[in-house]
Amino acid sequence: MPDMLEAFGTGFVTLFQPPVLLAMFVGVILGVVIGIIPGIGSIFGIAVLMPFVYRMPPETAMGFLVALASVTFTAGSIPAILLSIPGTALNVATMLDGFPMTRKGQGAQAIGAALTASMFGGVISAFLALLMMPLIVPMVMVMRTPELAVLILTGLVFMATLTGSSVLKGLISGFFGIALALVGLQGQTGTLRFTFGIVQLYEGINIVTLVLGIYGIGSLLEVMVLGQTTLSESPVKTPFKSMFQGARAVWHHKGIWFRSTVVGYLIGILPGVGGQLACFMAYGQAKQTSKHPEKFGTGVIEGVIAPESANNAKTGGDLLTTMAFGIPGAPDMAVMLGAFFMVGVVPGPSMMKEHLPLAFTLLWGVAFANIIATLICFATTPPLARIARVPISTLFPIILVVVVAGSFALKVSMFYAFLVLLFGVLGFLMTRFDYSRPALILGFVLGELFERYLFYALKLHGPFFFLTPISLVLIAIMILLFTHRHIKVLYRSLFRGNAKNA
Amino acid sequence: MKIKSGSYFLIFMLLLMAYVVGASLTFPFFEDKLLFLLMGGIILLLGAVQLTRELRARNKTLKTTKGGTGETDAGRLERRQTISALGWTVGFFLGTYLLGFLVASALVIAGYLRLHGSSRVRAVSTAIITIAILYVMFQFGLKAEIYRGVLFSWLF
Repeated sequence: MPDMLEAFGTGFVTLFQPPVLLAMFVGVILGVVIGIIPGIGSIFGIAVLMPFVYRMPPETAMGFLVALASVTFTAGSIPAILLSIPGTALNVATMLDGFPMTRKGQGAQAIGAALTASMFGGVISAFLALLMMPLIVPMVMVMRTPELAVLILTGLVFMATLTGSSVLKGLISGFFGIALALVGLQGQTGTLRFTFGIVQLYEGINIVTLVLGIYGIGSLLEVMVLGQTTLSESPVKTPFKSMFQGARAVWHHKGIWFRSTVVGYLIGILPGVGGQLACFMAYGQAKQTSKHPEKFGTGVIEGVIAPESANNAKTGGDLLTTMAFGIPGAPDMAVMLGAFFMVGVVPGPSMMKEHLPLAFTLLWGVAFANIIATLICFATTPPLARIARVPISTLFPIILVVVVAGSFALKVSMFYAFLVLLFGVLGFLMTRFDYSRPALILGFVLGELFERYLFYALKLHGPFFFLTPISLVLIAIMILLFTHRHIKVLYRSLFRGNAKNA
Repeated sequence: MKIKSGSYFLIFMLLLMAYVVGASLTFPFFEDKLLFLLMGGIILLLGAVQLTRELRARNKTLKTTKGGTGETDAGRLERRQTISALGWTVGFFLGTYLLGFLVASALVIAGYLRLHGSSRVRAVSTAIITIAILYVMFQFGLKAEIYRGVLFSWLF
C-alpha cells in the first residue's frame, strides 16, 4: 500500500514536469483537430503520430498519445451536432438529438452540454480508474505464465468476436497478426524466420510500420473509396451565452450524467467492447428514465448529455484494462498497446511492477486532457466548426504525405515505406471484406509475448498447463463468447416452445 | 460459379498460410515452428469453414436471383474510386523512390488539389507549406535525414 501511495503521488507530480505537460497539451490540441474532422478518429491519429514520439521518454510519449486519444470524442461532438456528421464513431448517438437541436436553433446549447458532459465523464472515469488501481494490482500479480498465455488468447478472442460481424474472420485476423509478429530473429534459438534474406526484417516487422499501413493508408483508402465529403456549407452560429446555458443544463440533469458516466466506465473496462455500445446504452437508459421518452430523437438535451458522458468515461476503463492486463479495452487501445511496446513499456504485470508511477501519470493525464480539451473547444467552437467542413478529398494528399513521413521518421529506408504500402493495401482489403483490423493489431502486439509465455508454460507445467483455476475460468469465458448466441437461440426456442405447450 | 472478391481474398490468405505451414516445417528447432504450425493450422481450419459458408451463401443467392447479379452503377463508381485512390497512393510511393520524399510530396499535393478543383495558388501554397513543415520537423525536430530518391542520390 505505501508503494501504491508513493506511485500515486509520483504519478501526479510527473504530470507537471514541463516536457510531459507540453506533450499532453500538444496531444490535446491535435486530438481536438483530429476529432473534429469526420472520418479520421483517434485510431488513425495514434497510428500516424506514433513514429514521431518514439524517441521521447515513456511519460512524454505516452502522455501525448493518451491525451490525444482521450479528447477526440469531445471535439467529435461538434460536427455531429452542427452538421449531422459524427466526428468519430462514438459521436453517432450524440447526433440523434444533437442535430435536431441545431435545427431548432439550439445548436450552441447542445454543444455546451456535450462539451461539459464529456469533460465530467472523462474526469470522473479517470478518478474511478485511479481508485481501482490498488484493487487491480494484486489481482494482476497472481498471474503466472500459464494464466498469462491463456489471458492473451482470451483478449484476442474478445477482440475478434466483438469487433466486426464475423467471429471466424475476427479470429483469422487475430491469429494472422500473431504469425506476422513472429517474422524475424527467434530470440531463443537464433533462427531467422521468413526474412527472405532481407536485412531489415531481421529485427521483425515494426509495430509502427504495421499500424501506419493498416490504419494510416488503409483508412485513407477506405474513406476515399466511400467518397466521404462534408454535407453542410452554411455557417452555423454558436454564441457563448447559449453554450454556457447548455453547460448549466448538465448540472440540472446530473442524474443522467452520472449514470451515463458509470455505464461508459464499466463498458470501457470490458476488453474488446467498443465505445459505441457504451454510448447507445447510456442513451437508452436516459430515454427509459426520462419523464418524456417520446421526445428523444426530436432534440432534447438529455439525449446529448448521456452519450457524451459515456464516450469520454469509457477511456478511463479502457486504459486501466490495457495497462493492468495488457488486454486493450477498445480497438484504439490495441494501437495504444503497440505504442507502449514501442517506448519500452510492457503493459500487464510487468508495467504494474516496474512502471506503476507511469500508469498513475497517464490516468491523471486523462483527467487533465479532458479539462483542457473542453476549455479549448469552448473557446474555439466557431473556427473548429469550419474545419469540420474541409472536404476529405482536400486532406487526402496531405494525410498521405504525413503517413509516409511517419514511416521515414523511424528509419530512412524505402523498404519501410514499401511495407507501409503493402500493409495499407491489406488494411483496405480487410475493411472491404469485414476482417477485424483491431484483432490483427492485437495479435501482432501480443504475438511475441504469447510465444514466450506458451513456451515457458509448456516447459514448466507440461502440455496441461492450462488446468489452473484462473486459466479454466478464462477458457470458460472464451467458450461462452463463442456460444452465447447459440445458447440464446436455444433458450428462446425452448422457452417459446414451453410457453406454447402450456 | 462466380466467386465474390472477398472469397478470393480468403483463398489468397489460405494459400499464404499453407505456404507458411509448409516452410515452417523446415525450421531446425521445435521452438521455431510450433506457433507457426499452430496458428497456420487454426487459420487453415477456420478459413476452410468460412470459405465453405461463403460459397454456399453465394450459391443460394444465385439460385434465388436466377443467373446472378450484374454490376451496378454504384459498383462501377466504387471500382473507379478504388483504382483512383490506389493509383495516387502507389504513384506517390514510386515518386518518392525516384525523386525523393520532398519533391514527390510537393508534386502529389499540388497535382491532386489542382485536379480536384483547387486554384493554382491554393494548390502550390498548400504544397509548399506542407513540405516546409516536414522539412523543419525532420531537420530540426527529429534530426533525421530526408530520403532523397534514386535520381537525386545519383546526381548529388
